[in-house]
Amino acid sequence: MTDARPDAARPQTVPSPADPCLKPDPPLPDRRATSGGSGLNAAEAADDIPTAPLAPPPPPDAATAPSQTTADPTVAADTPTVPLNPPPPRNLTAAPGQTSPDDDTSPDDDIPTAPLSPPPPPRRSGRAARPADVPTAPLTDAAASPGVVWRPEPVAALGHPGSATCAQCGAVVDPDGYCTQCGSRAKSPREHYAQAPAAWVAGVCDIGLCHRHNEDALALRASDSPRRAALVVCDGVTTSQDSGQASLAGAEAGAEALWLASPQGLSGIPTSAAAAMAQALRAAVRAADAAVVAATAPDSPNPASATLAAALVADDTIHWANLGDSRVYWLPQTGQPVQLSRDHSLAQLQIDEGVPRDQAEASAGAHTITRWLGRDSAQPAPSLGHHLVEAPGWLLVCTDGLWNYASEPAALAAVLEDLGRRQPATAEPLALAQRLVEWADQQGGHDNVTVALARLDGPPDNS
Amino acid sequence: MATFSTAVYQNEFLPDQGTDVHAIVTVSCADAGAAGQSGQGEVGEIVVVDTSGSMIGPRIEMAKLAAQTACDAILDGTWFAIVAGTHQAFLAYPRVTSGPGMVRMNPQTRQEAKRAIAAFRADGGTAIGAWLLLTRQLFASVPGLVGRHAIVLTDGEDYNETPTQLDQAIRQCIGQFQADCRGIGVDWKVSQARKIAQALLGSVDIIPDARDLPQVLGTLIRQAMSRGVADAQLRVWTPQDAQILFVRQVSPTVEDLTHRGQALNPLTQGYPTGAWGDETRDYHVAVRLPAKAVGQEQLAARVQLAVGAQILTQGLVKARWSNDPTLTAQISPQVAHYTGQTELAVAIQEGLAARAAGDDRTATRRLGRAVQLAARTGNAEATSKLQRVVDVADAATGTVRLRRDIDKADEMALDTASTKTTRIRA
Repeated sequence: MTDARPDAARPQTVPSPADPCLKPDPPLPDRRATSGGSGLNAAEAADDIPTAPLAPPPPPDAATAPSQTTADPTVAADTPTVPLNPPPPRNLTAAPGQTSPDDDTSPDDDIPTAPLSPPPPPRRSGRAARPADVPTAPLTDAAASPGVVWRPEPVAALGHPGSATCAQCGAVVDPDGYCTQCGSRAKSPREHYAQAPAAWVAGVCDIGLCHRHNEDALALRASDSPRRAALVVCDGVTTSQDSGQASLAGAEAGAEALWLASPQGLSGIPTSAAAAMAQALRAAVRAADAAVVAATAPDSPNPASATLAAALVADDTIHWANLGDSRVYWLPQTGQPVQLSRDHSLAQLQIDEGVPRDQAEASAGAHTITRWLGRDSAQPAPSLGHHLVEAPGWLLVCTDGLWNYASEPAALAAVLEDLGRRQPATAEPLALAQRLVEWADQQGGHDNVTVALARLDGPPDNS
Repeated sequence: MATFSTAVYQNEFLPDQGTDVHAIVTVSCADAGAAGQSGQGEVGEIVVVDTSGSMIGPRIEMAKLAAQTACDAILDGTWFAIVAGTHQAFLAYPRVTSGPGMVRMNPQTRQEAKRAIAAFRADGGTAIGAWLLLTRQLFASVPGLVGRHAIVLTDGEDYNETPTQLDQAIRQCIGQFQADCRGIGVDWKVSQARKIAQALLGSVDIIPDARDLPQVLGTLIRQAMSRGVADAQLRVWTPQDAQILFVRQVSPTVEDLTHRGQALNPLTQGYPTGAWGDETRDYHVAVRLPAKAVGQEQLAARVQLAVGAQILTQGLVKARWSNDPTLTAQISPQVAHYTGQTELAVAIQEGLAARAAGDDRTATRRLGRAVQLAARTGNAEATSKLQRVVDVADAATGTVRLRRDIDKADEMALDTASTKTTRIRA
């Protein structure tokens, strides 16, 4: 539940333990959660990058945001991803041990980990052997026959088509939104919607069980030829106004911008491709931010805000960006599942300080985010990274409504595997995304749930 | 074209295991137009005047004047008839013995009707059931009337019929026409008149002074003529496995509709509401649902107003289960207000009935409760009428003493007004 920003007063409710929708807040273990309200960026900078010598020198244009230093495009452009490339740039050699040039999971544009984080996993074989400058088959197809791009129908803010079927009893749902037989409340198109722009890409955005509004949003783009996809999820902040509309606008604008800005059929060296993708992701974040601001009432005392997690799949690489606590996971069928994104939240700050993840994420204010989209966001600067896909698996982009119940990548991978096993042959993304949403509801459905999945096969020699 | 709108007042939050949902549904009608002018069809109006022997003297003269005033107020084009009632029922106008027993109002028929009324003489007994049956027959003689309204004027009890005869007559008239009943003086029975008015979707009141008759009848006719929506039905849909505890009109008067429902389909009951002008009526709907899990939400009722087959407005009554006592403990102010007003009506009627039966102890207790409720719910009219029957020592606690010098008319006025409610103060 992205229920608060540090500057937003949380409503104090008296939780009743028996009510699944009332979650008791454990006592605040860390005073920084409350003090974070005033000096957000300073606090984050201090906590995020506590040891100055390890941080690369900030470029001039990011001087006000030390934590964002490596988000600079020039840095991104220089970031090595494969060992066959020219020597790594100075700023990364200056921080040995943080990023391995051939490390699959190394974020290339952001300060990847705090010093307390464990070292990155060892690189796996096969990756470096792949000629980086030889375009793969889909890329060569691109110029000749651009794939058909699927565009989602606009999601109505309210209202029912009137021909819907009740999820409870199967009778007809009245245009008033309730079943004509059992009276169950049917979800409106804003409260539950799915997108499946390609057979291998789908997502479901759902209100969950306990919230009055769905402030999550989802926007997907995909084409089969070339095999590309853009997945964007946003989580509107409940304590701000218009967040449901704003998150929808943000996700849609972000996906569209990402889709249009990301280079197609790029045959250059992977580093420049990664840099271009990072540019596209930044453009998408800017577009999403502008859309969120545009969806905010000008006189709103508590302007809409939202998280964002975005992934762009191209050339067997996942390029990702995030703001706040929506996440990007890579869950391969074999091998190590990883959380690619890194939250901007008070929980993450605690984790960085050594608090165990489960404890940090259960603490009061854990879901308080430190970066977001919106009018009162000082700098919606995303964390960015990319990851080369080496084996078949699932790219998962989701909101906290899902990962609240399985935060560790391994735990999430286990859930996915378990759900997939029940219908192993047809691990179709849309069905699987729906099952993940249902699974989150079974765990309590405390928050809106958004799940976007892309089934990736990895390079041909590996699939 | 008339437009209807709905507002629902309720606390939709139910505690864990809670089952009963209460809501006040306010239905408003605007731009109703005039009766018979909306294109829905023609309407009919019948004035029934008591011409029994007890009316002799100034009373019959005022009744004649009132009936003539009524003729002036009936809009041209409206089908109408004048009935004179004694121990028999007479068609005073139009003087026909076959064919339609009503004529359209125009300057000529108005003059003819007034002349017929002028010839009334007070003589004979009282058989209200017979008057009603003739009225029913007259309305039925004009095919296609969409609105049928009668005013029944009497000054005495139904001496010349058994209660069973009257009840049977009333039963035959239900759904055939609406009737407002007015009693002149203090020798008629409120319970009889109320039975007729409630069954026939009308009002009941006392006219203590016959000199007020023309004004009262003129007002009643004008009100009937302003009801441009001839007949509307309140529909209450409840989900499978739900039970309607009650459906009550609570404003402008309390009328229990629960047992007047007609099953339109397995989930929908239709309740008659009669004709509508530009007005607002409030309904208290109570539904019992099977309890659902905390966090669940569902619809408890769709409350609709339909004219013919067309649903013109709908209010949704909802249920949400919660474990938050701050949410579930609240009672909707509207529900609380009308629950009090309904109890007020019952307390007044029971108190007066106990007094009539000589049970002063029960009368004091019930009327004391009525005083308390009237004060609490801000019903000034009930308070003022109660004060003519009891001496109030302390309204807050309902401490009263029965007055020994009660004016019979005051007592009857309290009785007839017992079902009148006040709307909640904003």
